[in-house]
Amino acid sequence: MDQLPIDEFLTDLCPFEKQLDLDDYLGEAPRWCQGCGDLGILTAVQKLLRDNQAEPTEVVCVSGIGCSSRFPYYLKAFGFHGIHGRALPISTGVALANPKLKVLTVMGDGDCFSIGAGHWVHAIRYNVNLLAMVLDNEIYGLTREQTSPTTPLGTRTRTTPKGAFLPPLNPLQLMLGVSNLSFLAQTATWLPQHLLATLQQAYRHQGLAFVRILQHCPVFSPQAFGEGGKDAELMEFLYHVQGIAIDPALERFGGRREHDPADLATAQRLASEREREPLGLLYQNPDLPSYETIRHAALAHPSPAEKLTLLNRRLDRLAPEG
Amino acid sequence: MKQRLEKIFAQGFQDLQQQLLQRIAASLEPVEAWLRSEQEAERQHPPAPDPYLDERILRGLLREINIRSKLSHAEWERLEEVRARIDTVRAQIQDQAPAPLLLDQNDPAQIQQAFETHYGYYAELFRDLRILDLSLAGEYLPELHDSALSAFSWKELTDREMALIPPLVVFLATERPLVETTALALKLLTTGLPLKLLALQQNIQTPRETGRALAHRFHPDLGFFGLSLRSAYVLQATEDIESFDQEVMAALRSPRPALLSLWDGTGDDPRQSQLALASRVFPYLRYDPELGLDCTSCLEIGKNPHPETAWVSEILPLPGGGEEERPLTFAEFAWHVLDQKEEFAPLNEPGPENPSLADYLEMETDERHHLRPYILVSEAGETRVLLPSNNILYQCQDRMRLWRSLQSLAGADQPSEDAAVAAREDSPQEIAGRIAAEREQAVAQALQTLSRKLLGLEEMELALGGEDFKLDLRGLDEALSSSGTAPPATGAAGPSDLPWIETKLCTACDECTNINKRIFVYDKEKQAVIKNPRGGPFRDIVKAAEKCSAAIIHPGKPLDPKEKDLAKWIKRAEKYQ
Ligand SMILES: Cc1ncc(C[n+]2csc(CCOP(=O)(O)OP(=O)(O)O)c2C)c(N)n1
Ligand code: SF4
Ligand code: SF4
Repeated sequence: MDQLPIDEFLTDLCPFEKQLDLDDYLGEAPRWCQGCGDLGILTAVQKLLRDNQAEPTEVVCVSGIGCSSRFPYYLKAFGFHGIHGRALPISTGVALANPKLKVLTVMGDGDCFSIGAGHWVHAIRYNVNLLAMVLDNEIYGLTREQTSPTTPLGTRTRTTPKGAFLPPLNPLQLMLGVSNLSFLAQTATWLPQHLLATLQQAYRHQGLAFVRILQHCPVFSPQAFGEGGKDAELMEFLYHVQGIAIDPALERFGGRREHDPADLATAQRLASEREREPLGLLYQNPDLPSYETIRHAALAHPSPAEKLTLLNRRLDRLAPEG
Repeated sequence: MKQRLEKIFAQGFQDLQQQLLQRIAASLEPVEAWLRSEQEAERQHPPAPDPYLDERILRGLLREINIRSKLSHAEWERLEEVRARIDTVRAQIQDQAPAPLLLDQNDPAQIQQAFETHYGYYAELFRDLRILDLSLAGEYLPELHDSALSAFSWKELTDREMALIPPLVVFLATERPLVETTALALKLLTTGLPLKLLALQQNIQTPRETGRALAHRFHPDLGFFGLSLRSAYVLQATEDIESFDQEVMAALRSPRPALLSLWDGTGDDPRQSQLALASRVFPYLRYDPELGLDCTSCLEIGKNPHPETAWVSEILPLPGGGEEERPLTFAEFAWHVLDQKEEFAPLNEPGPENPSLADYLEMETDERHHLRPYILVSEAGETRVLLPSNNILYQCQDRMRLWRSLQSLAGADQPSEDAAVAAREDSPQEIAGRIAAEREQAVAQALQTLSRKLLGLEEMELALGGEDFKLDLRGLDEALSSSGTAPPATGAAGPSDLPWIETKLCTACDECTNINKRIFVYDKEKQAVIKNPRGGPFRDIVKAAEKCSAAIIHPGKPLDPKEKDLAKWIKRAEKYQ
């Protein structure tokens, strides 16, 4: 038997020493602006993977195009910087091809709700196993300040210099209306504990877990979401035993309301009333089977014996008559 | 409380059924799919002699994907047997969702037996799943696995498997004397079984104390007692703490034995349980041995109101006009909740021999001679002055001792210098030297302030009592600000001059660290702390506070009075104090 000095033996025994830590998920140094909410989300995702002790080689981060979509460069894991609006179909492919991988999809509001809207709806309906995040800063950041679907009415941008003409799209309301939605939560960059707790719950979910993360872009949309959480009147935490825990330190950022995430009708009402931005788990149905499961069950998986018979029949056709 | 717990039990374990079925399906599915298709194929195409193909050769070619062909007859039979057993359990689980087993009786032998039956059922299931997995992978070695798996018990289960088993919850009878409850808890927790013991604290019997008796005669001390076991999960809580339901679930789902001591109130008035928490009579504590190797990492007391101070205070109007800040102690609890009115004597007006209870408790024993402290209570909108009995005073003292002990075990009273040192790049000696110098300076400053105050030069403002003042002195060393734990108490001089960050709320946005890396650094959790408040000009700290995306940097006062344009920066800093 191998001999080990006692201290090494003990460190081997002690799980605290050997674990993956935050450094194991550091990719390139981020090139986002200082103060950008994307930085905090990156940290939260790194903590999420660390807390779950996910091997970087078993994680794939897929994104579209935008500031937020630079995410895969900065996270040490497999990455796929896709094309504008197409992060979800690419992620679907990755998830179906290798169900063992944990797929993290990162999109901007322009990326997902605008050019990617078609894919967005269908990905939710397909309910493939992945964790989808939209980093919503109510603006196109990378291309320098154009109106996005969530830009508030009247906001002056380079594409609407006289102010946005339309009221913004309500992504929560839309998603809560899509058949087969299985998980929808909302959180924000200025609530680090809530952000991490939400991602944790989404990570554990089987099916497509969609998390909208509110943030402001200090350069082009500094006013978004009450200057990034400075107005508690605009926000409301949802609490429930099946929901997301609220750290007492966060109380000053918004009111509270009890909401059962199994209750779709109330979630729809909450989202459509739009009095305050709900923060927490809006809806979760853990019993919905994922697309992988349904597809696997529906397709034939011929046994070796069956394959043999089929092959036999085919060869029979080639055999000479008689 | 019982009803609320029932709701938590019912809702909290809902997902177990699904998870267990998923776990079973993961092992069973490949065999079942193969069996199904095998039967189907045989039904459709009964094997017939084939003139053109040698079926045996083809079967050989397909060997890799043919489960059965990998197994010998004996192996296949074992697999079938195991599969049938798992199938039965699956049907039972489908039929009835697994729920925690609640036991209301306290006989260790019977509990042990109930545990073996409850966990034995699941252990057998997981053993069978392992046999199935090993067989399918062609890794089942009879000479190795036969004996190992026949002696399989719940002890062999992994944490992940344990997490799929609904726990066994024992309700501890708390109406018995504390010795008995504690002895029973100790007996049960040291059986080596991961039992979940739940004590609903209803009748707080307060022994008449002389101060000479051993502590731990007080029922709520059960939680503190649990800490001494070190490897048990302990939760002590009242219903109104944040995320109570999740806290209870976390304790129940821990793979370890757990002791839950929950306040069940003495009536319907929610203020009673708030007072139990605020008066430190029944402080919140959570000890999760999974979190680290030292007590500070495992113990959490942050959900108590003002966890960094000795007491929680209330402002009450004085009978003769004006108002007084009053700490909530055991005395208030005894008056309002326990209704021990006979332990109090009324007083018209406090004289020189009547210090306030908070002041009294901070005094050394010899200073207390001939003094009778008073408390203020507000009833029906009227404030009354009362003298608590000696018994009550001893209880106050004892609760204070418990709270201080918790604070120091949780590291809430003084941040660990080691941790602060580890977080820096500078050499430990350099830092230790700086901390020592800073502490000396702080003490000198504090003495000066104190003597000025004693001479009546400044109005006394030490609202939270002497110990906090001491705490704050420690706060002066930068270790405190860099741990980001405690904001300096309000009203005290000196410490609040230092900049501090509400580290828990830091979003890791890089603003402050980009402004000055000698002042601001990230801690292990990538949240900003102040490494060295003298690492750069006050200007940098104010700029960081202005830029901070979470608005959590509080600049304090400038440390270098000679800095340029200081008046301007102090003005700009005001908004963020
Ligand atoms: C097909 C296509 N159309 C347009 C663009 C230009 N484009 C690049 S990023 C972007 C919008 C990015 O905004 P958003 O998704 O909100 O991300 P953010 O930069 O705000 O994080 C656009 C329109 C493109 N790259 N490809
Ligand atoms: S432009 Fe806005 S969204 Fe893009 S990196 Fe800068 S702050 Fe972030
Ligand atoms: S500026 Fe504020 S939020 Fe950003 S890293 Fe510093 S302390 Fe954290």
